[in-house]
Amino acid sequence: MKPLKYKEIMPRVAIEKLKLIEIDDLVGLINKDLESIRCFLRESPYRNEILKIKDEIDSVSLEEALLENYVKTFKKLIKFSVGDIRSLLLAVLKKFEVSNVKAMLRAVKAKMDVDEAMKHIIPVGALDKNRCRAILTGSEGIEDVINSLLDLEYGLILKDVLNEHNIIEELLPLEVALDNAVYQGIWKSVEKLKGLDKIVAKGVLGIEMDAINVKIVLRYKAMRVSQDQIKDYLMPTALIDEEALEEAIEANNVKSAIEFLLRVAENAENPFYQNIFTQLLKECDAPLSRLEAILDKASLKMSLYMLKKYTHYYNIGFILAFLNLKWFEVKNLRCIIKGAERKSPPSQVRKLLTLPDEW
Amino acid sequence: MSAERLEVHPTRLELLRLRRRKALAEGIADILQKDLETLIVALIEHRQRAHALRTQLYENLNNAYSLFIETEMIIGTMKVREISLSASPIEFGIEVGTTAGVLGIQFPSFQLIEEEHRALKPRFNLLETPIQLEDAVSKIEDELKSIVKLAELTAVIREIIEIISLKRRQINRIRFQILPQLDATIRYVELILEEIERQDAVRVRVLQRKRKERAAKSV
Repeated sequence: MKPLKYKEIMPRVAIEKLKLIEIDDLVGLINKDLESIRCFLRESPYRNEILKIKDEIDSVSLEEALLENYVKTFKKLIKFSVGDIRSLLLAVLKKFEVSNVKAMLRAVKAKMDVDEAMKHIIPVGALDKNRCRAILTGSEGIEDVINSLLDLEYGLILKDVLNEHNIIEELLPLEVALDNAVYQGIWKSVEKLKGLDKIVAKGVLGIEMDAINVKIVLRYKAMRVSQDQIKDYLMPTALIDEEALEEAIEANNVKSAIEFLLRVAENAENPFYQNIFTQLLKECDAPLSRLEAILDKASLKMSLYMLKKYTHYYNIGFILAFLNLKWFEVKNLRCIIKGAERKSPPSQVRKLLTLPDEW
Repeated sequence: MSAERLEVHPTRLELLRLRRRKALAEGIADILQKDLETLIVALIEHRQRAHALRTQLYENLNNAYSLFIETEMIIGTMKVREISLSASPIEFGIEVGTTAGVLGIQFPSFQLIEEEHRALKPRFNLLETPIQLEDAVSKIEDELKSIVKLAELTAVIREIIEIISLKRRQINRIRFQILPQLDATIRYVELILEEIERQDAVRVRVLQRKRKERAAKSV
């Protein structure tokens, strides 16, 4: 661990972390109307993006402002980071870049108007607004989008899938290939880290990837998708390796799959994973949405755990944990905003928020 | 309003014919009335079934809609719009036929024809969509059968209402047009026949008197 490489980024992360909205204030927004939420956000770190909204406010414009703020914060941290940390943050940011590629593919498939399609793009990385507009304007079909992206790694990944399938009727294989490439990139960057940074990054990002894979196994098992097909959708693995996932896929039902994964976590002597799988096993008869909520929360729990376990400064865990906390804040705000627009009952909104256990 | 009478020869034979026609018309009106009652009972039954099905359907669609809103709350409106526009549509067809219903009337029947083996393939990217979206879609898919059934019931109800209105028109025509017309004609023929009878009686009496007078003169 070299404190020098943290000297610029850490104060920034610490400041940004202080700007996070208190959970009490966040929960207090439930059942408020959109105008009240806008007023609250105007006095928060989202102020600049909220003030940019000129038209009548709705959930879409507020959602756009939140995402813009998240990407801006992310870019700010990248600007002040160096070396391996910068590489890792850039790899993680690719999740949003890929989201734009997927949005363009979907827009072209749905033959969406360019201006309408641009509303789905949050400019990030190499895919700025002008580039995205040019791609959308010049593309008649999926192949055109792929050809326009050939100068980026995504174009080559998509081309490979296209060559494999000949005709693309559904976007799912392309989307899975993109997601897979992003997580492989993240994991590669994690592997390049050294010492405690590597352990911590593996913990924070590994649980996210493992949670995705477990979600894939549980959901597709519940949907009775064939075992061979499930394997095609798996992402790179962390603690729960491919063999373990394959065994879980072969289990008779969701409960046996969770039981098997719990045994894997016990053998790996990882109390954090054990805790999650025990919780999943306890609620295995509940609807799948509940199990997915537990898995989504795993990443938040790990982030909070890292913040407690390791010293705040000179540690990549603090940066990754902050980014996760900020992302969950954006997700929770989005949930509250949509709930306010749809006039959903407060209990339903509260149920969908991802909040720390102790709250 | 007095009914117009038919243009008939006021003869005894015609009177008999008219009376037979009246009896027949009354018989037809009775049969039509019974059909009408049966149709009304069938209409009430179908309406009750449609009401129960519609209530159930609304409840299930509300649940599906609630799950859809949850999806929007979890992944955002824009993402849901993006995914829904590009997702491959659910292919299904409706086979339209007929089936014998009450009183042997041919009622429309709709049959949902679903694409085979589709459920075994995931439609959405798991990384971006929560299970709520899959649940909402599968709930709506399950309700397709109910929607088609409800459409069939609605078509049957419409058919029954049309037949009821036809039968009612027929009954009304018999009761308020044909029967009064026949009654008026019968009354008219009876009147004419009575008049002829009276004239005949007078003529007979005059003839008898003349015969008596002639007999008295010859004596």
